[in-house]
Amino acid sequence: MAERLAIIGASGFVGSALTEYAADHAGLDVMPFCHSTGGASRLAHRGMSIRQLDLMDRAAVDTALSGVDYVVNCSRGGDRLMLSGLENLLHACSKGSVKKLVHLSSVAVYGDPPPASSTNEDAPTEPAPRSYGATKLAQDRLVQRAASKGLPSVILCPPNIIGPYSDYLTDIIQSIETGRFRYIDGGHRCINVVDVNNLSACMINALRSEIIDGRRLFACEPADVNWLDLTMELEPVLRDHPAIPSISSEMFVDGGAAPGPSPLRKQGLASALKHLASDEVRTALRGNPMWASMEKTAKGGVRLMGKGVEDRLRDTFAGPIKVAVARPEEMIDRPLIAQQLRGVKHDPGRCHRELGFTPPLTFAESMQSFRNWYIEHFDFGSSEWAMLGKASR
Amino acid sequence: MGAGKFKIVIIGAGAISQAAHVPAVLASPVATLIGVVDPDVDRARALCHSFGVEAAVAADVGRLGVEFDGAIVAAPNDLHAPITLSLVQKGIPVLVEKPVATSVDAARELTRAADGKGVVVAVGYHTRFSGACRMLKHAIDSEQFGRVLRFAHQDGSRGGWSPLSGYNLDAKRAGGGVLVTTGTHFLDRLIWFWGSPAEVSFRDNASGGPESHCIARFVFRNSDRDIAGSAIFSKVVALPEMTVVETTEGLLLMPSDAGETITFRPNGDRLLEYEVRFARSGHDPRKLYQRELEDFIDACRSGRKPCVDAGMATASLELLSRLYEARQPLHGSEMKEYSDG
Repeated sequence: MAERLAIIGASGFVGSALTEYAADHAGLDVMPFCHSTGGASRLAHRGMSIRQLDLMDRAAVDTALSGVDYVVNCSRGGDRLMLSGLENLLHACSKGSVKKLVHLSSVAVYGDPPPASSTNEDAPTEPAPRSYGATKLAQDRLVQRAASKGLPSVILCPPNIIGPYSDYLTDIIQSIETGRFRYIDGGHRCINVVDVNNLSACMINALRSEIIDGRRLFACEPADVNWLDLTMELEPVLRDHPAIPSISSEMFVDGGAAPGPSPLRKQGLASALKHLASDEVRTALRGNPMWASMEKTAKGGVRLMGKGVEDRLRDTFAGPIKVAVARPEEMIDRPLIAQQLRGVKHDPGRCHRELGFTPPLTFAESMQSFRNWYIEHFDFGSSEWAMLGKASR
Repeated sequence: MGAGKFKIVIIGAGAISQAAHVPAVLASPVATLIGVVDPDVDRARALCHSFGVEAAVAADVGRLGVEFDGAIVAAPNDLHAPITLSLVQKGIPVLVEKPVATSVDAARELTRAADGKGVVVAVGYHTRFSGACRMLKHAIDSEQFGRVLRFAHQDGSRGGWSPLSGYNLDAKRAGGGVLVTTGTHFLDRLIWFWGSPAEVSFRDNASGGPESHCIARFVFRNSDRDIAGSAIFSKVVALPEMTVVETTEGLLLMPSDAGETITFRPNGDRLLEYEVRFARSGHDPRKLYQRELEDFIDACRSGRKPCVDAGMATASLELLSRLYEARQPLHGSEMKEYSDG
């Protein structure tokens, strides 16, 4: 009887690809689990049997993983699910007969942008508090703790994921077509990507590897790829679009430093009174009949002092009239463009050496498979495709 | 049927009843919810409880023990026709969720029964009640914005509707895949706009299960010209919903079939856009499901046909069936063959 592989989060982009890959190539009895049926259409069209599982239900997770040999965790969700749900999963794996857990983490655990030292996995992990990377790092720690207690585990860290069904690539296409994309420094900065099918193959390799200590491995394309390479590969499926301008990293950072929190105003009686006398506060307070009556009386009193006094008082409280500078906003995809500032090539050498893994698809083959998929699924080149493009601009 | 509130029983206590039908009945000044039927009686009870409704609950209609004026059938797709038929045979008017059946034969049988008994069967194509759809229909018919040349439509999301029973993953129970769950409203509208198409073609990714991505093409043969167009429906690719109709004068855009406005972009002026609203529904605060329900109730009380009756729903099912018969495989997502790394 074939060994059993449970794929948790099988309805997501990676989970679906892994499920299809494993069913076709791994020689395992594949058991896809997803949280709800809404996202499982991609697997359903192949007639695969899909099981629903709520990771927050510990007893259900224990039952689902009973008799399972391998587990891959591709689940995503809110912080609670990602942490408490993972604890339930680890509990079930540790309690059962699971021979190996592969946990899908992310290069985001190193921070965004990642430190220059994150060319290899030993770099310090410094994600911003409350970021996606911080949650993934917390997950890594849970897995590593379970590994230290005897659960054979491997953690894989992919960067942005490309290949058929990649939202990442379709977002870049849309950004270029709508003129919102910019190169930074000519597009020559490196980009870390991995093809979803290469990632799937890597996960299967990880299941069968000797590694059991919960170590983290980069699952990235080995080729040196930059943003120019990536967009050139997309060019054949792009609608007519404006030439992509290039801006310097300095200009991008200067022009777009996200506004930080407003500096705290000097607190004092005057500022408190100004706030109290502001139109917004008075409007809100007017809902209270007593306050409305007090305001009316005060206004009457001030009016008796004459217009000059009334005007001076208003100027004192309201301050001078301020007019903000208005300029046409340049519509660019800042978060996407900002990814070019990452500029660190995560070296997948350890994954190659320790898992014996060589990606089945080259970068060029991956992009070709994406284009084939895109052409078919978006009805590329048809007159209707052109109409929809015209309408979306 | 008295002039008081129309007494409704909802059959099926799943996600669509929770999200749409119970709120529609409760929001309507002319309807009252008096019963919920579901094989899982606890679910029916929980549904009533969640809205603070005092209604009878039962596992089947026969055990409900209350008299009612009409029923809303919101069960899994494969149960629409048998449940509706059994109610029609008892003379009970029904508002049934789309698709009316999972086979053309079942839909035709239901239509014959409804016509024979003179019982109202309204079918839940609720987007027909949106201002946007009505305006688009008006614009096409009146040629106010030019003669139609061609059209394109897309509607896709990664995942989507998750019925509690999960019937959507079973092609037999759902009656198909994304063409049924997402596309059926569009097919109904096409027939409403131009009648039955002369030619169709269809490609999808089904491979042993319900399709999750498909592309349908249509040619409508009018007296003086052909109108051709296509539609993409997907549960695996995010495609912002959009209908574009190209006319001799410009582009008519409908970004949402549940919205209240459409946009017209005249040819030759890239800066100009008109927002067009259907005057009669522009200020209607009722949600689409409430409008649909009240149309059904009015049809029951007045004797007129509902906006979409069983016959019209059968026509869209016939089109659906023609598309599936024309099925060709959609390629492009297969991996090249290689050995494991």
